[in-house]
Amino acid sequence: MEIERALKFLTKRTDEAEIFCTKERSKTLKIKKGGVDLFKESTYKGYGIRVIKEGRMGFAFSNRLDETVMKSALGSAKIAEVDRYLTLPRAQNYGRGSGGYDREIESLSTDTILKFTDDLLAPCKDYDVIPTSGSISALSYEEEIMNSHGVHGKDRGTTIFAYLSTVARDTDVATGFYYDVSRFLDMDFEEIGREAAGLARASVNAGRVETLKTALVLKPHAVGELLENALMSSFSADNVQRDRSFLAGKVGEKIASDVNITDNGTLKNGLLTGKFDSEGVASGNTPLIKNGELRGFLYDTYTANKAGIESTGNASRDSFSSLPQVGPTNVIVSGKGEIGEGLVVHGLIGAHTSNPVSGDFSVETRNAFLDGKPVKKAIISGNIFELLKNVEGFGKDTKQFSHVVSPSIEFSDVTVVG
Amino acid sequence: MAELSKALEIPARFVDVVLQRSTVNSIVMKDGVIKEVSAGEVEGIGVRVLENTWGFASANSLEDVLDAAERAHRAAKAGKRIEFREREATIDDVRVRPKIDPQDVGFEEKKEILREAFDATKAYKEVVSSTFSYTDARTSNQYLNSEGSRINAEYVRVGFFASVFAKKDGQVQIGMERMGATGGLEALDGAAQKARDASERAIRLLNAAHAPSGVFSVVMDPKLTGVFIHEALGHGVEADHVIQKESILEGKINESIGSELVDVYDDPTLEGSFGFYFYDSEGTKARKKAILKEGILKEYLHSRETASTLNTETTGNARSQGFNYSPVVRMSNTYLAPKDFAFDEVLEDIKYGIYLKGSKGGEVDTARGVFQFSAEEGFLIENGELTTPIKDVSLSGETLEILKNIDAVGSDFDTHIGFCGKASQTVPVGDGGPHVRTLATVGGQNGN
Repeated sequence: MEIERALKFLTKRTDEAEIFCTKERSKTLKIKKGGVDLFKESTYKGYGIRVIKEGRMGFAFSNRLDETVMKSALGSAKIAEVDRYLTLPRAQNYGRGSGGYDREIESLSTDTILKFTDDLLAPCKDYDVIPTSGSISALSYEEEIMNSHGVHGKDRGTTIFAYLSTVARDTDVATGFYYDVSRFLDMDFEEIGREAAGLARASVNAGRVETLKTALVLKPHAVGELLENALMSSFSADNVQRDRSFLAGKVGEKIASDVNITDNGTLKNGLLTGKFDSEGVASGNTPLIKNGELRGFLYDTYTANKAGIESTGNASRDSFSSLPQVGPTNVIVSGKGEIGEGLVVHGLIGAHTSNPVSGDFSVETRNAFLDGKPVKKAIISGNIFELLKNVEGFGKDTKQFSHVVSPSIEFSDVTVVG
Repeated sequence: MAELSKALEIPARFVDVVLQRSTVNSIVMKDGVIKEVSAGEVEGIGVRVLENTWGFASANSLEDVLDAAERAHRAAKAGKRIEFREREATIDDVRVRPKIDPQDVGFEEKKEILREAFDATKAYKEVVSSTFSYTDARTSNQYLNSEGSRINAEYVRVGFFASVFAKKDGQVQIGMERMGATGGLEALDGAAQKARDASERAIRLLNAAHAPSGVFSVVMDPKLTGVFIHEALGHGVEADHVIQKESILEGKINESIGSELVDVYDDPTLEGSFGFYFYDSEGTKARKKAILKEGILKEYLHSRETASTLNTETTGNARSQGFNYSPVVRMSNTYLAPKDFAFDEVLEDIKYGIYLKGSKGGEVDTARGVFQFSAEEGFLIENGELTTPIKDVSLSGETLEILKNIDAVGSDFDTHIGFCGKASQTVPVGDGGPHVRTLATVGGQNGN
């Protein structure tokens, strides 16, 4: 069934209705033991149907847009309970262009991917490391959303992703891991291989450290992992409104050193850039922290209704099969000052175990160096809100990992357990 | 089936096909109000072809998948030849039979599970917010391969997830609990108790002290023991990691790698368990395996490919998240077997140590044999007694050291459900064990 017809079917039977459609196509090459293991090609199509009737919301999803899925959504709405803040967005104006689309990624041939694989693996010889696993993945998607208030958006995009894991042996064993993602085919696969191989080689013959307080330099990948897990959920208006955010009631207060954090869904080349969010609201640009002062939170239509303001365009869905909820887009971190010496950490192990409410974390490090020498084991423990008050400086190596776009950041006085 | 067998006509060394249909229902209650009710259906087909290397294609329809599979087959002609031994065909038709099948129960009754859970939190004045969710899923798989195997299997799973937030003096803490089974609603009887457990933990954490740091005598509760065994040992015995030189356990079969008190099993046949399956994702019948017996490494976990490479039999541990993923070596239900120490005996010799409960997750570097995970909460142990509650405490160390240092294994036993991520795929698993005493590095915020 066409989306327009389906929407008419729903509109006759409910107060508000929305149809979200996504089509994905991906090509992935997996590397094992330094060679090709698997070539995979997948396509996927799905519809998510949301309806609101008399203040009750229903949802259903399927690969097919037919009466079954629509009736299922209508049935779900009878079971949910009334919430007067539930509405769907009004019609929007979207900018030109797309989230980030590169025809070359969409039409990438198997042979080209094989050539990239050679590039990715080449540096392993130079560093005498074993490539253990890796992959190159090219993804393209089309998205369409339509609702009964006149929202109608279409967008498309591409991403290319590559990673490599390596093992180096000397008097001990060290591992290296590096990955990169881009919306365009501008990726240097050899550079990814060199980072992964170089990190493993540089990390052998590691020494133990005593428990100490030190300056900590988190490389962009580590910054991303930490902020994503320990900080970001505090900016969700849903958490703020439900008394689950440490930052609730602190707007206007100085909560950090001279740091700026902005959520920008329109960032050029951003991994999470799109014309509109997961409920069709035009993408926004929302300051969260400016010069250390808390400026605001991220809203979808529902939480904005509750607060009596406009959505910031931060509805996000994991896939067509899930309901939208508040989530970040591209989270840009910046500030003044330079990077000094200390414990330099390239990646974290277990960042997802951070406490998303209190901001407390206790994580193991991956590829850590103290005054240039590799460290065998170092646990960093602390609290993200305290850490943000101890920012000393920023590097010039800005990169995006997942949502977070940040350079290396130096923090003072961090407890490290060896 | 007749239609599907078209995929088997691809002239490859080996082909297998899965047609999967899933229906999923879920209900979410936020702060006492049913906010989200969702029902969905997904259908798709995955085709795996082996030539020199693997090709894999997936799509929602047969015609789309056939084109892609042919392209994947061409790509699989490149590269070095992967070992893969032929075997006999299996024909079977199996299904999970829940006592209380979720499809026979209306949404009202399912909502009641969440309502009771929410009501249970009302007794706690510090609780400020809660989310409870219910989910049931029915998945049917039709499996075919070019050796003649034809297996139909149907699974029903249910899950209940609780997160409770408590607040005091501007501080907020979370308590999380979950339960689930391969089976029906009978498995969710204890949901209200789980809501109470989550509430009480969140409140305890409000009053908990920061944990000390350093090397201590450590007692892990059954949940953390299960996670430790899964993360630190289990991933290291997955044969793909061993073959890729990503495991510290390479070449250690029949060697002692842990204390004599340590027996570890992986068992997908445990009835009702979250990691249950009849056949793995390449049609191998599930069986119980001893990984460690009295500290001696007995067996790696295998798929057909890894078993062929290491010249042994597959253990039936090839699992995929769904039709759109190619199977990889995975655990099922992994546990450390109980011995004969009562809980107070486990504690009694400890002058000063840490009791760690639950797990917020963890990560392991199998190549280096190091791991990290965070406990949900802890207590100090002083002179054999549990004293101050502590929070935000992580456990880390070298797997082999921790296994060797185990000097007490409890007589109690409990299992928990988990979702294990590997190779971008998530599969349901079970972890378990008794209380276990060892020596480990604890990381807390009380540095010195």
